[in-house]
Amino acid sequence: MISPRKRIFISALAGFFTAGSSCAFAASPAPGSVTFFEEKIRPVLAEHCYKCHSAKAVKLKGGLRLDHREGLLKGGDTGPAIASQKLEDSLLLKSLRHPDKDLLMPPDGQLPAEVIANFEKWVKAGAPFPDATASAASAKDAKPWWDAVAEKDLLPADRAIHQVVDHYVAAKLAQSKAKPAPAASDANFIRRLTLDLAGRIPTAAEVRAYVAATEPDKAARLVERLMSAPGFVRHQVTEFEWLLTEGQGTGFRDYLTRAIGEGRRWDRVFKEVLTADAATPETKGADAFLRSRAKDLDKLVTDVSVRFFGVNISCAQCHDHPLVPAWKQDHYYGMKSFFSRTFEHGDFVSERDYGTISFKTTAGETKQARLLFLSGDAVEEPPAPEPTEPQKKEEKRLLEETKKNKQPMPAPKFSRRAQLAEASLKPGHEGFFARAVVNQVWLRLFGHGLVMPVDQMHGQNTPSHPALLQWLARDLAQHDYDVRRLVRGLVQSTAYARSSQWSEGARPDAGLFAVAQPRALTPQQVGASLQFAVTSPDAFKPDAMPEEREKFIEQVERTGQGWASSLERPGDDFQVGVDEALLFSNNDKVQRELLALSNDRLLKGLLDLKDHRELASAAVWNVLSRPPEPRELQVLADYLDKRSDRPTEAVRQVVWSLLTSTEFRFNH
Amino acid sequence: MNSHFCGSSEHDVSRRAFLRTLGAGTGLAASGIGAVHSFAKPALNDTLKSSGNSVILLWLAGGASQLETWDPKPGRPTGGPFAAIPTSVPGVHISELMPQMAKRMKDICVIRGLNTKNGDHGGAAQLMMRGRADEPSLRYPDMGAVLARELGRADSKVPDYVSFYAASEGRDFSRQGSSFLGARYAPMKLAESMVPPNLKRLESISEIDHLSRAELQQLINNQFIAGHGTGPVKSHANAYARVHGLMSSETLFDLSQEPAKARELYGPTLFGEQALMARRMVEAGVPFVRVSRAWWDSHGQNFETHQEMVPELDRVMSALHDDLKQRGLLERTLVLAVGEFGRTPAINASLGRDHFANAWSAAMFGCGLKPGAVFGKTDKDGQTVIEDQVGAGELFATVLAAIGVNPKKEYHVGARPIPLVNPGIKPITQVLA
Repeated sequence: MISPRKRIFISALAGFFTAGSSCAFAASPAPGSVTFFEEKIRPVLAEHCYKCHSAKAVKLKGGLRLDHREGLLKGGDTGPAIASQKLEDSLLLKSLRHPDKDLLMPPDGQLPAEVIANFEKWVKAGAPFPDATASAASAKDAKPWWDAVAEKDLLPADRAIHQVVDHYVAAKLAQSKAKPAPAASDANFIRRLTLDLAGRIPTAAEVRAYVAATEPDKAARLVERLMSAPGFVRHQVTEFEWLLTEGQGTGFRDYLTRAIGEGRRWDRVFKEVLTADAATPETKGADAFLRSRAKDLDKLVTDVSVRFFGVNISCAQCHDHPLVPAWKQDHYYGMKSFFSRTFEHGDFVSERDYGTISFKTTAGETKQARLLFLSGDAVEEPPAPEPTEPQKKEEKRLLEETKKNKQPMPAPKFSRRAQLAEASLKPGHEGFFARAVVNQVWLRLFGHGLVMPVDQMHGQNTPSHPALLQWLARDLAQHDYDVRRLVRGLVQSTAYARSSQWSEGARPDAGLFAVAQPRALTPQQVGASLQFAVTSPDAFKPDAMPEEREKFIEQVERTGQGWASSLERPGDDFQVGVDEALLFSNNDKVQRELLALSNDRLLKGLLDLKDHRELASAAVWNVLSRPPEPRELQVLADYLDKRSDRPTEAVRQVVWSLLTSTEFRFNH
Repeated sequence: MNSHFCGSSEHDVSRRAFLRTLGAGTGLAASGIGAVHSFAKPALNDTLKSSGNSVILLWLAGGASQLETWDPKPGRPTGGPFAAIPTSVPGVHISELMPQMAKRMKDICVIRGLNTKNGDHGGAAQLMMRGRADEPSLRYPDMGAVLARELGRADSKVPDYVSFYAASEGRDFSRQGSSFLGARYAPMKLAESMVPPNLKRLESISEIDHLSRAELQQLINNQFIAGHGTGPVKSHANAYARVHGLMSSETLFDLSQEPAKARELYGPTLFGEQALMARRMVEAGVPFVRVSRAWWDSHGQNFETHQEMVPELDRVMSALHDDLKQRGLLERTLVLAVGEFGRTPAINASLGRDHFANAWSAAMFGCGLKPGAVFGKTDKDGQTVIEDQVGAGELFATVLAAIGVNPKKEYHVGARPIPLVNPGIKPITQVLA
């Protein structure tokens, strides 16, 4: 299988991780580049050649060293490996290609054609070979990026979040010489904010009111209004439910609604999910996270690491990570040890008092795992001897009895699982936990995380704004892990409020936050927004009591949820599938539900407008949440003019084209 | 900023201008009203005929018994009541329930040494469809998605991956089969009805309005896309651009276009009809079609079940073979018949056989394969593989290699290279041409 890559080449590859590498099919690096060497040549040399041709060789074969440039040029008994005059004739290449088994390298089998082709490209590019000793030394000392951000150099803790965000974003922009986009228009801003804070588009009336408002702090007031409405909690619950369980696990949503509705600290939510006590009413449903994963401990440990710590260590299950020194098999099994005594028991998740796990390293050695957190801190634990025979009998009896009575097993005296919460939240060690949730919230609001990919928040993957991430993490930890406060701060920054439009050539790198990212709506946002778009403006009685209005809003949201199940949740590099286009083009549901002519629907009201320009304008306001452009108004009005023999159909088609437009489909 | 609104009212009916504004070639020239009639003739419209290769997967949902099909053990305590018959390959015998395939054995390839270790319907189905088990944090794309990506054309008017899903299969294991390759390579799923959902224009809108409406939407979109041209944004426009092309392939799904003789060849069953449909699709260039026949899971009455279902498989597979050969499609189509696992040699108290993944078979023919090859041998009772054992990965790699896709090719998820098959897995060269 995959053999370990003992060498760690950080300096050359650090850039590789930060350069928006979330795309699935990355372009290949140039053959003369250091990246090409580190990615495609050195690992092959390490795996197939160094056993016999390096400083580590037990017996150096043929007098040939391939682990530094000098060795290549000097060569061995048969001559230099690289012919500096005629690179294509290099002995190195000849031996790789050689059909004769005796002269073929490696001797246990010819390398695949693409690998040989890579070697040819590399040699022809001059065989650049970065100094092994230098990079080996730097690899061993490769410190995590957060060590390089001194606390004293961070902005003071008493600054406002939005000011800090703007400070660091502007600093990097100044460095890069990229000009930021201007602020989004008022209509654009309220649409974006309502989608982000309430999971729906604003009504035309809400947009008009905001555009017309003159208070200098109207943005801040809008934020407050949206965050105090019940829709805010509903939307946050949807987002966090997706983050933690992707909608699986009955009862979990109810738990989250309670927790987020009460504004529970995020670290408390973490502890409750991890140590789930199904009995107390406050935490009922929190155990759904564990229960749906208790059967597969590897999945459980990976999920907890990804969702709460932003770190996907699953590769370390089989081998030390080739590039990240802090992700060895020890760490994977160290994390797994926190869960190794957990097991599913009827409707509950219980934990034993004893049991350790061991694992086999790639070198063939069997090791006993101990409790080890991602930071490398080991956790002390009391000795837990294997149970005696009478103890085993008692345990078996208890298991049967509690299962029969539908009760949980008694809690262990020492809970390894609870230790994970303690270890990860200890002051000074809470970095992983705090940074992970900050990055997730940032990703959701900006469409691009401070660290990408979001499950690679390890020490060698430097964020786009290291000091900013550290400041935000520190701020969160010092303010009771109040995620609401974090959201409020982020959406009040200038960076958040930028326009998403960029018309002067290529869009700048997303990690600069110079221009806002268009973000595909989630299925829930699509469902709710479609429904809001086709509801008659009169139905939103602006004079009704706020409670009645809120109830109506919730009802509209819920009616739209039927659409959510037909759509895919956007992930990295999201693509809209053709089945969505076919659904909206040809499915009767669109006609029956969205383009219906009942009294509470937009279409009814539109048909009453005899002036086609007025009609088109109302349609654009209601669906796209903005005033129409003069030229698009003309096109729409003309479309209607040409079909005055079938006005209902014409209006339906106009509304359809707006509802299915790309602009509607995205939060921009 | 360039605006694509020239302000002229002619824009909303001028098809030429509409095509210009679309930018990337979408082959829409052949779509629209004219192409709706393109399948009226038996020979396909040349612009739609594909020169690429295709795979038809006959998915034996529930797990068909290898002892009642490709690897019989007559006379043994585990052999069951059916005899074995000689085939057109000397020395090779298959179940008497498949006389037609026996005659054609010279063209068929059988793998008898499958040991896939997974006896759970869901897990095993995913394993066979993906060639490997998913990791906790990585879902691998299935065969259909990979072939859609490797063999499909960007502007294709036919779907790249079609899956006939039989409800009696139970849970749909092709869900999210495209994983990190994205929704572009997700299967077009047909339930027992043979027409894909949402392919047909609703009666309530005329053809010309349907097109005009789409053009209006495109015009409105162009303005937005010009200033917001990211990958996901453009994919939205591309998805809609493909709609009319795909709609024009609707006749592809109309079996009445086939002469009665063809329909008789495959037989009157749903499985037969879907196999005929699959032939039409690969003829039109669909890279991957999965036809399911459920439900082979004979924990009870194994012999009645197989007595009923194997002859149908025999007929349908032979029909597919002959039909593809006669149309000159055999060189570019690979047909694979396999399920999620085989069945136990041991016969249980209900005269059934249970799940068994230690020693079972798959059969295939067509593109890139060595006809008449039999690879792998099981012991006299079919309990273990005694020669040439292979797993799901090897089978997957063999199909890829036969069809002309390099199994060692790599995709990337972030910085991590993902080869099409796991390292160390090699195609079975003994069955490759």
